[in-house]
Amino acid sequence: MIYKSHSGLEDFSRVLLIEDDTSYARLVELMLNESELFRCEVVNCTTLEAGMATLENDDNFAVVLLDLSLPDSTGFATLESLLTRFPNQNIIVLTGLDDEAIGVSAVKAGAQDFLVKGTGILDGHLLAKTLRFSKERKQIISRLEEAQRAARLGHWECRPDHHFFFASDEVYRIFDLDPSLTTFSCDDLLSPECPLNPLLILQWKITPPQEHSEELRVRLSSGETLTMLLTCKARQDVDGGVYYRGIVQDITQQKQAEELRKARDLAEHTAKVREKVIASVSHEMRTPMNAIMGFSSLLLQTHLQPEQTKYVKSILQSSELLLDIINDILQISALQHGQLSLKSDVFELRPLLQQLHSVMHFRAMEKSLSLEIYCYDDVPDKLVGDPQRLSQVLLNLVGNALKFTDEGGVKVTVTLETHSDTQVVLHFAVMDSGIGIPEDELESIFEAFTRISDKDRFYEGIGLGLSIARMLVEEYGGRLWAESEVGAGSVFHVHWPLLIAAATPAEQSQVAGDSLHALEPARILLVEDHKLNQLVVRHLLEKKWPQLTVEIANHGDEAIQLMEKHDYALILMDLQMPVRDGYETTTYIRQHMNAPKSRVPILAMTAHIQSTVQENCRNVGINDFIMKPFEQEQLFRIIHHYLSSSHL
Amino acid sequence: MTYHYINLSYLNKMAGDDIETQRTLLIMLFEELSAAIPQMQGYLEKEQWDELKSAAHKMKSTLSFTGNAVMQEANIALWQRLSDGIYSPSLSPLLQVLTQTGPKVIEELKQASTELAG
Repeated sequence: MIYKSHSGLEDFSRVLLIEDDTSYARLVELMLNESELFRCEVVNCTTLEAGMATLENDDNFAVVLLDLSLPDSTGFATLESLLTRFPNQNIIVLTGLDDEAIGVSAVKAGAQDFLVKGTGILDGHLLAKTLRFSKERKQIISRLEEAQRAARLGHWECRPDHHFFFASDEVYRIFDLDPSLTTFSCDDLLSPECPLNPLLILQWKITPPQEHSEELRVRLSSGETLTMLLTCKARQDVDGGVYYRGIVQDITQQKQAEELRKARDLAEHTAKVREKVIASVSHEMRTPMNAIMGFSSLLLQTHLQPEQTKYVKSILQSSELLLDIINDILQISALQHGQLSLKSDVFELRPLLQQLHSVMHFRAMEKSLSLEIYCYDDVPDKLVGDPQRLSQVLLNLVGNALKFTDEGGVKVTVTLETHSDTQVVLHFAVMDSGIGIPEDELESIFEAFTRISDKDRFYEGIGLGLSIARMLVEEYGGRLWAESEVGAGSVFHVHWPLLIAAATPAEQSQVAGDSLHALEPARILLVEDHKLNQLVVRHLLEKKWPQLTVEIANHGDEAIQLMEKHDYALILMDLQMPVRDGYETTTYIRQHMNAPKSRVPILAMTAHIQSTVQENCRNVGINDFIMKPFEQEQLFRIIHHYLSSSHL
Repeated sequence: MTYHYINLSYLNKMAGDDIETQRTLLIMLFEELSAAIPQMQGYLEKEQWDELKSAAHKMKSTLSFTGNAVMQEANIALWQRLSDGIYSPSLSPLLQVLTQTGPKVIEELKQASTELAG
């Protein structure tokens, strides 16, 4: 029969045989050599001292076979000596035929097993089997101990009738005791001073077959307080005796984690509620703020005493400041909750920078600072992105630069970081000669409600601007960072990806002003419900080109009726009109009218520059756009383009 | 004459040097405002949001001729809110700006028109 171990035993073991009878030792070796059950190498020592010296130098023995009658030690003391020095050693005691009782006592004292020496009793198979089981048992116990140590969980058993108490090493360790130095008996537990006394009290709370669990907070001698989970089961022996088994688990970390989780959940919930309240209150405040500002503006337009004017202006300025704060709070709330709608509109960069200069140079002048903005020639002007957000970020950075600068000035440069045929990454650098920022604060300044401090000065603001700016830049796939040196100024860098806008047909054939006059007589249909716009467009065009005839339709249906009667060279189409709007009218013309009427150029007149509006227009067949309110030059240029001979 | 509530630079630019066109535009403008503002107030009171939005949209073009920035901004904010589907008491203060300033603007438009006629 081949025995296979399921406990992962190694194929080969080493056995230390402490036996002074060398012939018996040789016999044991021969018996084990022939065994397939337990393959091993036997090392023989003839004295206890030699055995212990061998163990001292080499602890890799699976089992120690110990004869209790040795030249240097006899009887039970032999085992005690060995166990004292090697408490975890796996020992099997060898006893004589007359000493079986000693073998039993040896097991109670800590030996794994005992074997009775003598012909006919100690056979090879029994020896090998005992050694194998001993080794496996020891290994299982060792794994159990490792598992208990890892789980901070120990087990115990108590039989009060027999004054028996056992606790695994881990129970002692949980109670901050060294199991190799301290063990408690059943009687020890009776003392309230005994650290394991709670295990006894636990037993008093139940009778068979009850179970009980409770948490116990224990202050250890080290001062540390642990939370333990004590579990106990009461059971009854076949002879009627009661015994208890239980476990002790250190759940301090779980409790701390649970408390931390509760605290975090509470903090998160509180933060959410707070954000919601702030956002809600801010939203509600915006309406009355608008009213305050609106009525203050109205008040300013009345006849006021100079002092009254001053007061009203103060109200307006404070209201604007407060509205800015409210808007910041609402915006950061939207950014944090992913509620910001990203826009993608066609815009011109240089006018945007000009606008930035126009807005901020007054503030620079107030502090006698210079403000310079340089945009390099290779930076394309017509781009697709969100000009409002880009302006917001640049206004914030330039505003901050001016706020923290008392001498010198602020310089903004715009350069190409990377570019392809369709897109660019622009590098905006906002440089100031201000107070600078300590290196260890260069990141924290982008955190919400963080303000740059100066012991001598107070700077207004609630510390949301840079946080919002960075979140906005990152929303658009860019990057915002700062470089600075205290006392030498700061540079805020922005990398902002943008698409390059395709040129419109009208722009592709920019015409010189003089040539705008060279038009053939033509009939134009203006579809517009707004009387003032009707008058203005007609007046402007007929004055500019008397050879043109401008006819008017008040809505789409009228336009279609007129088109059925006449041919037009061009249609100027308002988008939002009663009866039939510009989209529907264009769709009808393109799909239901016959050529050449269906191919007439149609220009939308709109106040919306959003790309979605433009896309919708192109989808229905609108050729181009005229922005409202009208700019004469733009109106003339685009109409000239479409009325030139190639389009007639 | 100095006006407090109107700025006619856009209107004049659109009309060119043509006094008659300027005057026509002024008359159309105050007639339009006189009719549209009470109409918008009525829409608000009856909670006719689509009609109010449409009127605010039309008013954007109209107000650009008056040059009154406060009214323009209030009207754009009103239209924006209606476009966003916000039908709340917050619309009332915005419309109030139009109803309160409107008569003063109309008055000055009439004065400008008279001045041109004279």
